[in-house]
Amino acid sequence: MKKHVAAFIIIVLIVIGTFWFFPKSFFQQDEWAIFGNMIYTKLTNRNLLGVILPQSGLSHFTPFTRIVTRLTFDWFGLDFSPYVLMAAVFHTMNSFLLYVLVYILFGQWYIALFAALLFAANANTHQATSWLATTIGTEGCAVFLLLSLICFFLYLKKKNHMYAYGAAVSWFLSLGFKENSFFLIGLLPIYLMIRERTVHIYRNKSLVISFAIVLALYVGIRLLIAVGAPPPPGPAEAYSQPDLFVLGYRFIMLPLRSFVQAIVPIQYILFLSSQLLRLSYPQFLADGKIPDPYIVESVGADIVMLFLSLCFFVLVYFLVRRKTLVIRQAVLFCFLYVPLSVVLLILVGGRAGYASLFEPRNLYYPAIGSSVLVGLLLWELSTLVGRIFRRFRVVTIFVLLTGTVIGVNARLIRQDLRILAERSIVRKNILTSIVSVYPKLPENVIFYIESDTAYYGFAPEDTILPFQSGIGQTLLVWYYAQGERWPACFFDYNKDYLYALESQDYKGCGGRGFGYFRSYTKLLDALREHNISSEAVIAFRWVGGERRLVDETKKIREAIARDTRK
Amino acid sequence: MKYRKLLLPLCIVLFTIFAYRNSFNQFFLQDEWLSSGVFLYYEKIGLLWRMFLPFKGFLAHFNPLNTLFFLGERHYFQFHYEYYALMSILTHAINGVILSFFVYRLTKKWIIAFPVAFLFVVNSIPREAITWIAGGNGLLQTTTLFLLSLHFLYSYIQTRDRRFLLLTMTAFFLSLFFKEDLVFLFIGIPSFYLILEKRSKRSLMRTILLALIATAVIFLGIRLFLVSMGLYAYEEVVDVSTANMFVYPFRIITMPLRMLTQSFVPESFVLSAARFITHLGYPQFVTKGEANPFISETIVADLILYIGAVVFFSIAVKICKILWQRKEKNLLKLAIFSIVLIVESAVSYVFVPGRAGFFSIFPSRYLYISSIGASIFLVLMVFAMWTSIKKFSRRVLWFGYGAGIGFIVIFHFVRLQQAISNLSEVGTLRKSLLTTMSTRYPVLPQKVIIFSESNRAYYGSPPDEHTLPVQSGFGQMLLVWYDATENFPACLFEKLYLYERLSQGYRECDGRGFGYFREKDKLMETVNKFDLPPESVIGFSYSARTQAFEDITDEIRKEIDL
Repeated sequence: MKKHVAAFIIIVLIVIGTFWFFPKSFFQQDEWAIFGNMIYTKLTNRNLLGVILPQSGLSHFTPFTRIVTRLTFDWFGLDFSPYVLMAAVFHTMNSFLLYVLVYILFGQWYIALFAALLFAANANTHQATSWLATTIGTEGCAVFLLLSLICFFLYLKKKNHMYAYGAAVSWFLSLGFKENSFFLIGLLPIYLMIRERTVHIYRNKSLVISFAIVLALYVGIRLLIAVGAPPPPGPAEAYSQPDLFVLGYRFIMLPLRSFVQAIVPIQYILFLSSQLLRLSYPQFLADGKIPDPYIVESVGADIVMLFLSLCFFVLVYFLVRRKTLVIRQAVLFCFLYVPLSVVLLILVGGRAGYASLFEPRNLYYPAIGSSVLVGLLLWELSTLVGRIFRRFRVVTIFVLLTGTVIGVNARLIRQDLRILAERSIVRKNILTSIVSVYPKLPENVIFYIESDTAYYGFAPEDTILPFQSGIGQTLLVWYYAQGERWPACFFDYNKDYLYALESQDYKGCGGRGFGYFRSYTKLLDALREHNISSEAVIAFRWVGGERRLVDETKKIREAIARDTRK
Repeated sequence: MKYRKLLLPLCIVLFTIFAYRNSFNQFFLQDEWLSSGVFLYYEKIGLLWRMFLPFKGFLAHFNPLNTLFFLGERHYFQFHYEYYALMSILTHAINGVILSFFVYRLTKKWIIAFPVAFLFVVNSIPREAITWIAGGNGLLQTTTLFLLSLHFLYSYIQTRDRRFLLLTMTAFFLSLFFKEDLVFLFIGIPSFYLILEKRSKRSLMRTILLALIATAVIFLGIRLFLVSMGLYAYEEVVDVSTANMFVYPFRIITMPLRMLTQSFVPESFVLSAARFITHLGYPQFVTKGEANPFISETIVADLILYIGAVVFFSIAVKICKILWQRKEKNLLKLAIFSIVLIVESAVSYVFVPGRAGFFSIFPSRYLYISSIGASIFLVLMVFAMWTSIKKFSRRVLWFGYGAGIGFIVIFHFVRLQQAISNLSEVGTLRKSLLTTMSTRYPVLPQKVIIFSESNRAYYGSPPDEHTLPVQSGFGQMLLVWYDATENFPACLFEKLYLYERLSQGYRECDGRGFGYFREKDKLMETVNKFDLPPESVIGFSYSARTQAFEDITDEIRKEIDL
């Protein structure tokens, strides 16, 4: 028991050390949309069903995520710290559950602990923790996915029906958080078939029946929602389904992409891809130096991943081929688990489906399997090195090897979070400055904020504030949390008012008016159109180079009065 | 047995001639005109020996034996293309015969040796080595020496007679002066020794390594001596610059992988697959339904070649496993030899200098040596697969084996005929351009400008750059073609005058003047500038649709008069 407690403490310490800068960051992008969404459900007094139902029949159906999100919003509001704590607790819990899973698989403390630590400090998946918009769904799903796997392996060991039921119920709960765990319905039968070399439906009837019931229940609910529901919002091309050949190609590339991306930090893959272009394709270098990013991130990355995955497969084969049945079965499970855990991503519609690099949050699930594999691989490698250099103990080599891998990953995460924290401080300062100068807003209000800098790939003339989503919608949410009573119509989630990064507009409804502009001409047009006085305007100017927000309300109001008189 | 030993080589030679029979209708393509022009220049200035010197540049060619061979051919064959073609085809056939004997010596199975030779001679993938005189010259002879060196090496392994080792190294050494495609043998000979020897002995290996070092020292010594003396041939028209030092180790890893796939899969298949994959996986590089060729034919093609190499290795492991289980030790050795040969033959091309070294798809002729390995492996694969099936009778299995080989041979034969037929068409057309002109104007004025207009752009030229369907400058082709009767001065061949495909100009020297133009404005400008009479201009017009080459001299002369 002591060693398990020690393992838990080590995991907690590694999570704290790795995510040290996380509390200094802030809400990024989709969080504002989710908060707007939650405000809407509150203002419209939606019941539980109203909260959990998706916007359309074919989009995500994640009832438990919605419930937890609503509850956390009710409890925490826009206080960032509790969200951070929740994300960290979820992540620690998942790492510890992985420890339990690996311990059940191998019965070896070292391997279990280091697999868990590799998972806890995986540089590619930290977005699942550090991007709060996805935390509840992704990490919540992973909690129950891991519980389901633990129950499944306990069932295989002890043949106790309760574990089979536990696996099925956990799977259902994980599906309620995010659909990503749907792959279990393919993975578990395939694994059992290969492991037992035949199909024993009767022998595993409790498992088969419980999973069949959950599957029927889940599919039934989804069908019920989908029937007669409106199509998903947004342009149709974003949801266009790829043809069979495209699916075939993605399916072939899936194992190569999933294994490598779940193990090797994306930065390294991109670095190798850039080097590939430098060494082999000088025609794709701008000024003979800078590799074309579109090629680096697509076909170049695919070539790199092909080579790395081959090296990985060969290494695993040679290190594991003569090992015990338990190890070979665990390796088989991981080899099936990693690609299947992202298999649904081949169905992603539109342009997004063609990306060679997965969204980091989607790598959270394959990282569970890859951490086990890498942990095992490093252990076997340590054994091999220990056999050659007899002076060193295998455990020492193993700790050194895994420590290096964890250290490299943790360093990358800390770097990312430090950058995120720097950006977040700026964003938070902008919002607090605005609220501190204008704590109360008039009935009709228009924010006019100029900027002298373009961010996030915008054209140099498209100057905006350093936010990833529309500042207008952010201000709506931010002022709501400060006690401003907005009508629900500002947050209608079918309209996404002012959420798009480049959006600027004015809307009057429910007895109040709110607008945001960054173009002075459009501001004047809106004032004329809605017959609003210049007193409704609150104006700021963002000086990007100095990171300074200047209140220009008086100056702009005078200019408006002058310009509207003409 | 005696008859078989005579009959089988004869069959291979006859089959090769039959497969390449349409090659006799081809014509000189591009580099042949360059070589002829250079030869005429050095011959006229009395410095023919300079053609035997290395080109300028650390990794540039130095092929004196190839030059000697070319001069011999030129001396005896002149412009009779069919003799050049016959020479190439016969050398290729001889290579096939030597290969079949080598395979037989190793396996003692004609049923393996004969199909290997047949497949090799009809293999459509490296056809450029045979159908392109300038590309194949040197390479074919170097391969003959390579195959002979393999025989000698095998004899040395069997007899331990050092004279055979000397012959091995001599053949290898001479081959380097034909073309450097066999540079890989510096690692190839030791690895072949390890494969072919039953139990490799350290002392024998040491002897081989010493012999190789001696060969390397002599070869490099000759090159360095000439460089240190500042003795160079004319500067090459291609880029011979060396690349970043990290490029070469990278190529050593990647080129063999690409070579593996390309040795078995025709180039057109790879390119089609690359375009298809670009559509499937990277639609951002597709414009108006067409895959961007700069992406699909380079990096995407490479991706396919790498995946192909993985597939090949999987098949190779399976085949070797079957041969091992069937206790076919000699066949297993041969299979390993074939794989190693393909992989190592790519190493020679790692050092291709300049931009050309960054190619993705291997030019067809670079695959000539690897096609030896590919032919062996394919035959062994079909053999292993059919003979590993136990439930059929022996007769059925042999029939299956024959059918499998027959299918591959027919596949390549058909592709070869298509390719040669295309080349013949173009060759006949090009020859007709020259013969039409020389028949119409057998004697040229002392100062002459030839003007040709066309209504189409060829070979990737911009749409407004209309040229004749030739791969090098038509002006230089005319100079070389007419020289036999006109005996132009050397200065007209100096600095590859008019060799560039789009080049046009006029030069007067040593009492003669020669010019070539595609654009009428420039022609008129030159006529005025040099004050040339209208009679010095000869004009032809080419129609791409009808392929008619009409004499428009009178019209042009009238225009000049006006």
